[in-house]
Amino acid sequence: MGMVRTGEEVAALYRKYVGMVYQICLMLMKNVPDAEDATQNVFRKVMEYDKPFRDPEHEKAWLIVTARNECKNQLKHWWRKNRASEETLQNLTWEQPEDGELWEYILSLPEKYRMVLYLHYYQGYTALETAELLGKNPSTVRTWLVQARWKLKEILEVEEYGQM
Amino acid sequence: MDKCEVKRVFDQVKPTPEQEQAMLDRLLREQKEVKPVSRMKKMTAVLVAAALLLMACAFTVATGVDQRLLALFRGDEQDAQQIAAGVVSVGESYTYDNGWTVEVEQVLVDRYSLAVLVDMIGPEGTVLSGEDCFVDFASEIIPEDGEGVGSYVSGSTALEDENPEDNRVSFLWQRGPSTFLKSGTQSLIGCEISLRPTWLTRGGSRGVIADFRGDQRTFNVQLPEKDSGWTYHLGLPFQVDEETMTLEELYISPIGVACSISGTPNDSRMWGPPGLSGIYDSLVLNMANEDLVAMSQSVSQTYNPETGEGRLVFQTERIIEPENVLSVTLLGQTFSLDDLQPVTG
Repeated sequence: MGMVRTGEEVAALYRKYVGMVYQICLMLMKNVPDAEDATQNVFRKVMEYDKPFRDPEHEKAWLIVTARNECKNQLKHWWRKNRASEETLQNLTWEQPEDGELWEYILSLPEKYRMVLYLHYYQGYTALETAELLGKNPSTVRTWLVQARWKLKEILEVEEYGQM
Repeated sequence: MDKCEVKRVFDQVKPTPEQEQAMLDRLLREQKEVKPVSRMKKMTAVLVAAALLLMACAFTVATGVDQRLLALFRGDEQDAQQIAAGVVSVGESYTYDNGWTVEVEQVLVDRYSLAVLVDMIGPEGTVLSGEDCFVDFASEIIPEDGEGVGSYVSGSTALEDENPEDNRVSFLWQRGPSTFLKSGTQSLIGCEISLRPTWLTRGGSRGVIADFRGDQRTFNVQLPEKDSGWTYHLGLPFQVDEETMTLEELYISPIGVACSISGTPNDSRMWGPPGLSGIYDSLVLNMANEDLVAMSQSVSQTYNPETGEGRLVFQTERIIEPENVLSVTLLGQTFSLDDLQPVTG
């Protein structure tokens, strides 16, 4: 398999989507160094992907699915360095202190909830589109969205209660 | 918590412009890391390499198993006999246009894991220590006739580099079996594997040392027909956290253990009960001589949420004789193999 996209093409795709790919990788890998590695691997895969993208939506969806698969694969690898959880917040600065806490709560959710929260609330995909991206039934995704919201609410309430 | 808060938080975890540029630079960087080496160091390197080669040859003649493979399992010559049936000597090398030579030395296989001993040799003048280096192959198992989406896990370990000043490093590249969503896990016994080197990198994927993807050269290896492992069908309840699963089958080979488990079909959890990840640390083989053998690494862990079935493959910390395993302990539960009739390959 040779390189099928020029450096310029890859760089253009990179500039357009690196933010999104990195957000997904950071959300799934939970630390900056692993997220950077995974992001690079995703764009390497773009270099190797020998088919044209149908349209920008296909391009974006392909990158989301590849980023998720890459992280899933990395998390299964036995040689993956077990980086300390304190690194989770390293290199991240927050506009408000509570944003950092909310990020930690999001990271404490199971992977499926994190993905649906991100795709639906941040990227604006509908439940149907999210289901297509994740290869799941739309009703399953709707359930996950409800459960994710409840889970997050539950964590926040417990936290508030604990501080009283 | 509302949508705006979630959006605001995600907005803040984008990469910084510096991070973006650094990742892009690493991505597009051509192979580097070529440093000059003094003539004296080169001579020493050649002598040490020659001595190592002689030692390796002597051992290979006696048992057929490369000493570097044995060393990984802390094995001696008697152990070598134990794994000899699963070893294929390949001894093929290929030099790429970029000046790098890849030598595939030996392949060690059992039903669910495969390890390739490979030497990476840089162009003259290259200084290559194995520290933080990884090699990767694209691999294909032939025939691969599984149904549904298939996947496998692979990775590499640099072996101890006796001479970090020379241009040669040995690696063990390992992969697990192919697992298909509809037809389960495929055995590697009797298959052929096609290996195509893709990258030599440093620091995970941070620096590309050599890129082999422009060349289609493959190393094809016919894997042995004989399976040195023993299979026990248990079908016993098995507690994972609060859940009762079933330990369906245990496969024990001289170099590894594979557990087949089953739970609730249509499990909405992508990776199954979180407690499954604790099996690796808890798995111990209780041997006839009262020794305990732990696992040295997890080779592959797959879980199919549609069927609730999983297969976990581990490598043992040393070479064992499957017939001497009396019982297996995992997650604090011990399963006796005493009264069970194993199926042998």
